[in-house]
Amino acid sequence: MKKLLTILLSLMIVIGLAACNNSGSTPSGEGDVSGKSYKIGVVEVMLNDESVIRSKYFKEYIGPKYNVEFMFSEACTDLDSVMKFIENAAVSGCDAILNYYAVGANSEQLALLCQEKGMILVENGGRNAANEEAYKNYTDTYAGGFMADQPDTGRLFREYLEANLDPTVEHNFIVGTGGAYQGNAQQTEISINMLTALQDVYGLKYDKTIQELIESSSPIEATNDKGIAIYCYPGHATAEGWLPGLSAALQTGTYDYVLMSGNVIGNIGTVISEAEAVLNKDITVVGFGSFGDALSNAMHTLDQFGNPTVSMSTVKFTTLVSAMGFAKAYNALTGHNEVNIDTDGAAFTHLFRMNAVTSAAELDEMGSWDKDNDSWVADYSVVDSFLAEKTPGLTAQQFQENIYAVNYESIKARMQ
Amino acid sequence: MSQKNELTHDAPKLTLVDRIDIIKNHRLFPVIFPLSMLVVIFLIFIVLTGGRFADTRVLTGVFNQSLIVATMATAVAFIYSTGNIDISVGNVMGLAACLGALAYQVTQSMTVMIVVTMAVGIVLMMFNCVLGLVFNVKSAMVAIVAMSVYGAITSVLVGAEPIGVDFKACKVLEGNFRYIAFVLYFVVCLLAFSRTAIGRKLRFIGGNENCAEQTGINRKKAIATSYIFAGIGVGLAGVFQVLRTGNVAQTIGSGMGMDVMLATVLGGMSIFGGAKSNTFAGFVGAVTVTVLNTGLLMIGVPSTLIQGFRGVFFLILVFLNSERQKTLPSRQQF
Repeated sequence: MKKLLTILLSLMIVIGLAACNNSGSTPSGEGDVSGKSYKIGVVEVMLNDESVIRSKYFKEYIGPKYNVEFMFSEACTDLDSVMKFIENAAVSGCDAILNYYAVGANSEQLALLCQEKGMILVENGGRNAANEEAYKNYTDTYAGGFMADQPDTGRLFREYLEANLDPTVEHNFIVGTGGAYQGNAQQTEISINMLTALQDVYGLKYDKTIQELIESSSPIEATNDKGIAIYCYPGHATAEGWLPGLSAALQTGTYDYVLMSGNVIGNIGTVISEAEAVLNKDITVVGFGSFGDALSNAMHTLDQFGNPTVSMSTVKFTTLVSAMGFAKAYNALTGHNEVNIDTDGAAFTHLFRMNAVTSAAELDEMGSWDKDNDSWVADYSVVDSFLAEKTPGLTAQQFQENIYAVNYESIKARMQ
Repeated sequence: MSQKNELTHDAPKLTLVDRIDIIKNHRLFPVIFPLSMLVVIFLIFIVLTGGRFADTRVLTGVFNQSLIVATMATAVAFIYSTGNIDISVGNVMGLAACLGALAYQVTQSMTVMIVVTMAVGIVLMMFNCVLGLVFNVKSAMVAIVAMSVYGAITSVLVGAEPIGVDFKACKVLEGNFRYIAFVLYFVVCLLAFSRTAIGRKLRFIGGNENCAEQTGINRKKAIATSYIFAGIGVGLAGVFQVLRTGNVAQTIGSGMGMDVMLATVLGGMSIFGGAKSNTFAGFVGAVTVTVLNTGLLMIGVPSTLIQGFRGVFFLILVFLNSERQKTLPSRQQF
């Protein structure tokens, strides 16, 4: 009987799979772009608020309008899994890949793989010495990168710390350097700016260089001449042992400031609260975040000292970033690859600027954006301004200007 | 004649469970069942994708994606067959690939990279073996410690940036070299395991090591042989990994020991070894996992659901394929 039951269950799965096949999110053709439809594979590295918003935005908003179907990967944690997804996307009929996995020196390899499979590749990242070949030699299928204006993001953190830390009051810090040791440009910039801010505020001198501190793949004490405890803690919240390690450091009672370069606000709330409760000590958190429940909860939840769990966070508008990546792929697919080419003939990296949020009220205002089809920051007018098909004569530089034009003031005016 | 009919008539009737047990106890069942399941899944995906799943590109992709786990699972079958468990093979592969890539950076020679990776794979597996045999520590415990140690060494050696190997040089070797090397290794393992005294001794030890020793089998020597075969396979998998990705990152090989174990179980082999052990179960299991991943994506199952589908399927397959002992396990693992 049990065997029969298992066979029946198997059949149910098969029928379910068939049902899934028929109920896919293939655009119904109700969009205003006539002609060919496209399929884009999206390489995700983490399943979080950001990826959920991105998925919804692409599937429900962008897909139907521009005749594009999207296929999302599972969370890819290494290059091999990215390559597997690209190979599977190719046989599934994808025309382009939007890659959110930071590959560092392997852009050329993925560009070649996509070229072999006849697909366009767009990467969440920028041009550097290690991937110069991809940017120069694969411009027919490699549409370049899109990323945050990293120095600008780092500046937001530095300015906040310099404005809010009193040099006469001693604090001790955990600096989460995230993937800086792996070359993650964003986390590198933020980590450098955080450590620089501490250096400037307290007038201290580290025994090691800041570069050495952020490149360490294991936790390292940033010893300095002022005796301030600064614990550089690398890694990602998804890594085994990362959270327990952070918890152990907090439970020592030494640290009262947690500065995080990675998007870990949704992960660290519990360990912060536990440490505060056990030590009866206020711990201030400053970190990189993204709109969504995690940041909203962190900003609205007051700890036992009456402070929000997170005091400051930089945020990005997920749909703006997603629209940039989509537009680069779409321009290449529709024969407007010149919009992805820089003046030196290499692929162009398009940049966006982050915003700083320091209060729940501020977050509520911005947080009501990017929720659904009525409030996407990158609405059709924005996306159209990124597409050569909709904005005749668009160049890479104008595309960049159009991205920068989507800022807090312009969005606020539009939303009102 | 009538008496015979009467006897047959009076014999107790077999229930459905009895009949299933008879089928499951047939010596060919562990071979045929996983293969049949693989064929059935394959056919289902061909139907659901309108024939696209049978495309040469898809088949090549499935084979390429299965290759590394399949090679390791083939290798580890030698160890599993003796009743020993080694889940550190992923980290051994990672460290071997790491040292191979470093050797390439120094010499710029693919030959040196291959030789170093293979040699390190064999040496590390032999080190695990020696720890187990000399200090009489259970293989599973050695593997748990080895996982941490090898993983930490790899992490330190790799550092912030992955170690790069010229991927254009890798691509030259990626195709035919990998296929030929795998087929050669697979055939040698198949023959050694099923047609020579090596395999018979290992299976005997896995069934009952005391009996095996009393028949004159040198247990330590046989187990050492199994680790040598495994080391060759793990080293080879390390070479394949470098050739495929052209780099070695800190996380290389982590978690792969469990993938290998899953492939082995899905392929129909018990990780507790014994007479029914074989070397091709891992290959069948690895291909099954890849076919599922690729097929589910191709028919449009959202990635968020794929893990769930896969989990349910594995559970059913293992349930149908596994033997549930009616007595307590006779072998102590810890």
